[in-house]
Amino acid sequence: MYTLYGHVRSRTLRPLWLLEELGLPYTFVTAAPRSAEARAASPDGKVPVLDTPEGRLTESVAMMTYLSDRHGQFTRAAGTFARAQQDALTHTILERLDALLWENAKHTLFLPEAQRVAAVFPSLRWQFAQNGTALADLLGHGPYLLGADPLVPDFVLAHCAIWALRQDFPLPDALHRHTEMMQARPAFARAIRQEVP
Amino acid sequence: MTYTLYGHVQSRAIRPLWLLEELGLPYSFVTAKPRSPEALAVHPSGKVPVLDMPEGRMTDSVAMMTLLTDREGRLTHPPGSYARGQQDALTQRINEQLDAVLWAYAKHSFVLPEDHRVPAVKDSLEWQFAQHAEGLAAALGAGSYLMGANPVVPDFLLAHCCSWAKGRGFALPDALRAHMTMMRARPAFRRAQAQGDT
Repeated sequence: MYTLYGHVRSRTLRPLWLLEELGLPYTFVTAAPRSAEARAASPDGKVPVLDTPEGRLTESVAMMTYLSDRHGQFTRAAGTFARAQQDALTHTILERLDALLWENAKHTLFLPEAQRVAAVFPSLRWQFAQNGTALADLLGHGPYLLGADPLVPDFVLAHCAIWALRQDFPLPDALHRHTEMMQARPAFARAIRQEVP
Repeated sequence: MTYTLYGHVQSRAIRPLWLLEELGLPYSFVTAKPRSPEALAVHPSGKVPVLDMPEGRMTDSVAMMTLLTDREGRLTHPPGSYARGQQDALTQRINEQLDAVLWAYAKHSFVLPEDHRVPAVKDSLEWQFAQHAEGLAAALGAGSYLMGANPVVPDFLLAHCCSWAKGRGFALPDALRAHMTMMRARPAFRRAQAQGDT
């Protein structure tokens, strides 16, 4: 039994979505970043936080890796060449898309005002457009990043695309199609039902 | 089984190179600076490191560290275990809080085309690095590794990020400096670094 703390409109969506895909029993506790609920689960109010039978975990990608390895789905076996390709994709998406979206959010909202630099926004948008095109090329024959079935990096990519669209960042057509296909999954519909209206 | 690693010791290539030495694996090292002809010969945009293994070619330094340690079953916790979840959380945190900030600093210094560099953001990045470094120093016990008595993948990542930061002239909290010094004193690090002399 798992308990996930976080907010659907944050990186919390990633482990939440995977919990639904895996059909695991879980409780969801809505906690906006830095809210009192989030600070009760994590000292700096960062979400998501996942309580497992053995203890508490942080970091959305670490949670996805843990859940998929533990339950043997949506991942290739650790130590294989196929897993190395999968992990390289995950890290590429984190470095080239997630990090830019996070930088954009930091300079919009999360940094103290004295440390925000609005002048960086056009450069972030430009970098995102460049990297989005490069990642669209990696989709290859698809339909998923590594073939016929979705794996951890497909969920990370779809979440970054959803995040990008919300910030009005440009997205190449191939990434649009991938996101739409991912969002059509029944587990996605179940996950976003956790969003408080 | 033999590995061939392409890269430069003064890049993220030192990470898998160091682990190849720690694990005592047979390998060849081919010096290839980022975007050099040698790097472009093995990667379309000249990114290093690149690792050739019997099954094929792979990219990304952290994916390489994960593959090598999982294969050998050392310097890592078993996949799917709670300890591995904690270990991977440290790796992700160091990636986001130190590596990504150092990389953004490099991008706005010399990597991006000039008209997309924003030098004004560099002071903010240095400030962010200092905040995150303090947070990680607090998470690190005195004189120990991140997860206790033995180093695991995120210890190598942290030591490399701290070396990178030191090269930039960023301030490091005492606990991170002590961790870096302890890691760099390992014989395998000395052997990895010596690949830069040839």
